[in-house]
Amino acid sequence: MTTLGVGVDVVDVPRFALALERHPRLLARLFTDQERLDAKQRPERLAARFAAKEAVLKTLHVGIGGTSWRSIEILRASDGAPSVELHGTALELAERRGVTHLHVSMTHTPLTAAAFVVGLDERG
Amino acid sequence: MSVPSSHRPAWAEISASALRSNVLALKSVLGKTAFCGVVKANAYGHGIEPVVDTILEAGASSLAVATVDEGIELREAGVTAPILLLAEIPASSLPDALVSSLTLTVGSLAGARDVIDATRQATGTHPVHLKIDTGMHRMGVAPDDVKNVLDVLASSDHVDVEGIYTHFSVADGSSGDDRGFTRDQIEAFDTVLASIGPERRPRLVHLANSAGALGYERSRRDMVRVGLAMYGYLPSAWLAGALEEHHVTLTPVLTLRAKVVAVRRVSAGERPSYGRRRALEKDSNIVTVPLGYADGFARRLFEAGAEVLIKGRRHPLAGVVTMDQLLVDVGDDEVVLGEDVVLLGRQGDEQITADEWAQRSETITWEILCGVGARVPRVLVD
Repeated sequence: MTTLGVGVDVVDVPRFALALERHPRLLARLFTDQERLDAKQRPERLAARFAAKEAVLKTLHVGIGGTSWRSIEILRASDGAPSVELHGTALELAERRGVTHLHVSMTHTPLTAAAFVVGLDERG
Repeated sequence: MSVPSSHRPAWAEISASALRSNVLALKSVLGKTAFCGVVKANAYGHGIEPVVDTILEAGASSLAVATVDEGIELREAGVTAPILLLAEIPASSLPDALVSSLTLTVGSLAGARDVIDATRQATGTHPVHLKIDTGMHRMGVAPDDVKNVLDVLASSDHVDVEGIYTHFSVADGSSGDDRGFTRDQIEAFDTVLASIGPERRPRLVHLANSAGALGYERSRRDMVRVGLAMYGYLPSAWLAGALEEHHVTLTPVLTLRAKVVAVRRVSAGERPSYGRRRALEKDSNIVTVPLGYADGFARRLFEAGAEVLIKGRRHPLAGVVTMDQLLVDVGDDEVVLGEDVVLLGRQGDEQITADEWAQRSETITWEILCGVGARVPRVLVD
């Protein structure tokens, strides 16, 4: 198992909530239906998922334009553990870098959300 | 017609279906050429938020803006498509532009050096488009300096010269002179391109704005930058030819609407509004519409004979346009409070276009659309 990258990101929750308010379609641009369902409209949970997406980009060494936000999906297993699922261009980016698995951890307070991501090649 | 949640019944309706159909119509003309949707100046007055998804979903591969703030606004709205800055920006703005992954324009040797400095600390590579001045003389590298600028840009591993472009100054003109000048611009650009050599030639070659894209097939290369036409207006009537060949048309995306907020019977000889400019020839119903020059209905449109649509008919203004309201003379027509008014757009069989306003007020359609005031809510409809 080889570590190919790490990424961390912090999101200011009130600022993020304000952006969601100002841009009515932002929610749909950033999150999949499942993510919106999981987050139950709570801004701190949405902010944590957004931080996780940014951390994934950093792990894959790409900027904002690299892939759409919805192609990086932050899911939650029945035991509560979060996981990352990639689609489309994000999946291609990961494959190009040899990343077979991404581990994610998220945390939040009412004011701040943060996420940490590790990208691994689990074949070796 | 439902009024959006606003305390004043005046709003701009943005039609997603018209926008989608315009992008698709233009793409059918352009064939394989990539479509860059120009959304500067608040998407030509239409509002960035309402239009951006439709433009991208209809097949635009990138967007273009004029300022860093416009680019940041798009990123904050969650847009991940490539965003091209159409102008060189001050060196002090480069860090913010890079953080937001905006594609930079380099249009001078000094600008190229600034970009090299700004990307020195950066990770990864940043896309840059080189702008060539082929006759507009507003910005861009002179053809003779292109090699020097490319040498500077090549000195950094953090810079990817992804694109090269120019801008036309009279591509909408149909006169022999204008046609000749545009052809000269294309010629000058191609000479520069030929001098660069295939190994250093950027991947995205683009020349055309809306007018170029429709009027000059030779200017459709890897990409075109479409602004006005995407919003349903032609830069000039003769450009319709290319659309007709492909059996497609454009539809204006923006409809400026309001509702009547006051009606009164006024006697012949009275002179409504500021300045008491014109006397009523006969007793008339005078209608107050809550939209004025601060909203983009130019004050000079009164003298210029502008009309508005109520109940599917054209009616003249009764007096000079005020900042927040205008007055309409509907003669003996019965108009009730809350009646729908169309300032720009279609109602029944009648239509008032931004071209008509532009002609009346001696300006251009672009200025009319960009002039729709910031306080007018933009409402997306299908």
